[in-house]
Amino acid sequence: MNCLIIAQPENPVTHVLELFLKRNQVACETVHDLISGIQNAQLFNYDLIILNTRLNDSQIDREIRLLKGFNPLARIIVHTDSNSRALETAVRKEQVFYYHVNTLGINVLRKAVKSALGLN
Amino acid sequence: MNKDINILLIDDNDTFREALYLLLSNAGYHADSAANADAGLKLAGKGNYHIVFVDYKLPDMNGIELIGKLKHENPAPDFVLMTGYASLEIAVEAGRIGAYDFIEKPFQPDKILHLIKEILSNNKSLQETGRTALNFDFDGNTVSIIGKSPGMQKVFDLVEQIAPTESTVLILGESGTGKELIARAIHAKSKRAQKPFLAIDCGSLVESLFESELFGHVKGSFTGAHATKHGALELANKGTFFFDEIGNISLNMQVKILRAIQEKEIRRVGETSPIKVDVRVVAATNSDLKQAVANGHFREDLYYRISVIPIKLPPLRERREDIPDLVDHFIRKHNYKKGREIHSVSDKALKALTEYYWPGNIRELENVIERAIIVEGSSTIGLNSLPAFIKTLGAEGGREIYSLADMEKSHINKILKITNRNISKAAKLLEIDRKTLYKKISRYGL
Repeated sequence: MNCLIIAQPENPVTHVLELFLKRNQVACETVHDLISGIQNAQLFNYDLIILNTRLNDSQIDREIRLLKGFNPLARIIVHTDSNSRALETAVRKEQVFYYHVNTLGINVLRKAVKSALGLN
Repeated sequence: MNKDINILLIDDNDTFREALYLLLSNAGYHADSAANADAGLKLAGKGNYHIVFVDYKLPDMNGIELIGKLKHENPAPDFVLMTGYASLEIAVEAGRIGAYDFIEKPFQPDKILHLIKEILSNNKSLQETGRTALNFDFDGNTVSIIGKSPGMQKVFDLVEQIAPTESTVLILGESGTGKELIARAIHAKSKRAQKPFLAIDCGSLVESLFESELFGHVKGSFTGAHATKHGALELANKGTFFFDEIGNISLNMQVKILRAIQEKEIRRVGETSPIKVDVRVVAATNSDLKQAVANGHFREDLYYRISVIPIKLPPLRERREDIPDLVDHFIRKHNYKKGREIHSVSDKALKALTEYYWPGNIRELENVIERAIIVEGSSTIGLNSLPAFIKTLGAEGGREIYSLADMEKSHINKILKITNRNISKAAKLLEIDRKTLYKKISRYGL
C-alpha cells in the first residue's frame, strides 16, 4: 500500500501521519505543493491521498478533481485547520473519502486513514 | 416492432393463459406467462414488461393485491385486470389501483389486440423510441445516460416523472449499473437542481466516522465555525442527499438516519441542540433490502420510508442492445482523455463485447474499452485488444465453453422456433410436460 501526503511544510499533522503510516508498513511520500502532488499522482498509483487545505483553499475542488482524474481508485482524505461551510461544501461535492477538521483530534484522522487503507 | 413489446400474463387457468399466449405470440408480441401470483412477481422482477395482464382470482393472491405489489416494484408497465366474475365493485377497485383497463372473460381476440394497441399508443416511452439517452446538466456539464433498450427507456420515463416530486427514491441495481448517475439525474431534473447534491458511501467508513461525516462533529473545548465540522446532511440543506449502498448501514445508524428523515432535523456529534435540515433523500443498494428486513439486518420502518419510489436498473447483460452505443460513447470519452484516435470496433470484437456476461456491468465495459484504447495499435479496436476471457467469445464459431443452462436455453429456443411457439408440440419434441416447459420458458425469459 502507498500513500501520498500533500501538505504545507511544518504542518504538525504531517509528521504524526508519516510515523503512523510507517508503523503500519505503508509506503508514504510527502510533497509540499500542489504541483508536485499532481505530478506524483500522474506518475504513480496511490491507495490513499491525504490533502491539507491550507495549500489552496479557493480551488480545492479543482485540485481534488485533478487528483481523482489521475488516480481514480485512490481514496482521498482532506483535512483542515480552519473550517468554513463553503470549504466543506466544496470538498464534499467532490465526494472525498473523509473530511477532517483538525480540532477534532489526530486520533479521528488516524482512524479515517486506517479505514481508508483497510488496516485493522 | 411488436417483438420489442414485452407482455406478461398471470392467470391460473391453463387453457385461458395458453390461448392468450398464442394470440399474443401470433401477433408478434413477446409474451411470458405465470400460473400464480408468486411466479408472476418473480418474472416481473426479472423482465421489463410494457403490459401485464392479471387475473382477478389467483390461487395465492387476488389480482388487485397483486397489481398493487407489482406497481410498488415497478410502476412503469400498464396493467389490465381480467375476470370471469365481473362486478361494479371489481371495476371500481381496478380503477382505484390504477389498472389501465378491466376485461371480462371470455374475451374477444380482436378486442384484446385493440386494447394492446391502444395502451401502446398511449405509452410515452414507446412513442419516444428515437430517444437513445437521458441527458441532463450537472455542475455545468451535460451528462448522458445511454440506453435505448426498453428497460432503460422505462427508467428514463420514471426519472422524468418522479424528479419534480419530493418523493424518496430507492435505486436498485447491481454494482456498476449507474445508480449514482440516476440519482444525479433525479436531482438535476428536480426543483432542487440549483442546490447541493451530496453523497455518502454507507459501506466504506466505520460507524463513528460515518456518523461524524453524516451529522457533523463538534468537540467540547473547541467551539465556533472554524472548529466545527458541519457534516454532509447539513450542507445538503435544500438539496438532494444520496445514500449509496444504504444496505451497509448498521442498525444503530439506521435508527439515527430514520429519525433525521422523519423529523427533518439532525444533531451533530458532541452537540445536543438539533439543526433543521430539508433534504430530498435518494438511496441506492445492490443488496436485497427486503431480505435484509426479513433477516432483521435492516429496519422495516426505514425500508418503507426510503422505498416510496423504487427504480430498478437492469444489468448490462439484460440490455445488450445498448452495448454498441455504450462502446461508441466510451471510445469518444477515452480517445479524448488518452489523446488517441480510435474510430471503430471490428465486427468480431463487437460480437465478443455483446456476448460477454458483464458481471461488473457498465463500469467493467468502460474499463475494457479504456484498456483497449491504450493497447490497440490501429484505429479500430480488434479482438486482440480485448482481455482473453472476452476475446474467445468473438472467435470463429463463438465461444467454446457453454454452461448446461446455456445449452438448455439455446435448445429450448430452437425447438420453440421450429414449432412456431406451439407449447404442446414443443413439449412433445423435448419429451417434457407442458408445465415444465412453461417453467423453463419463464426461467430463461424465452
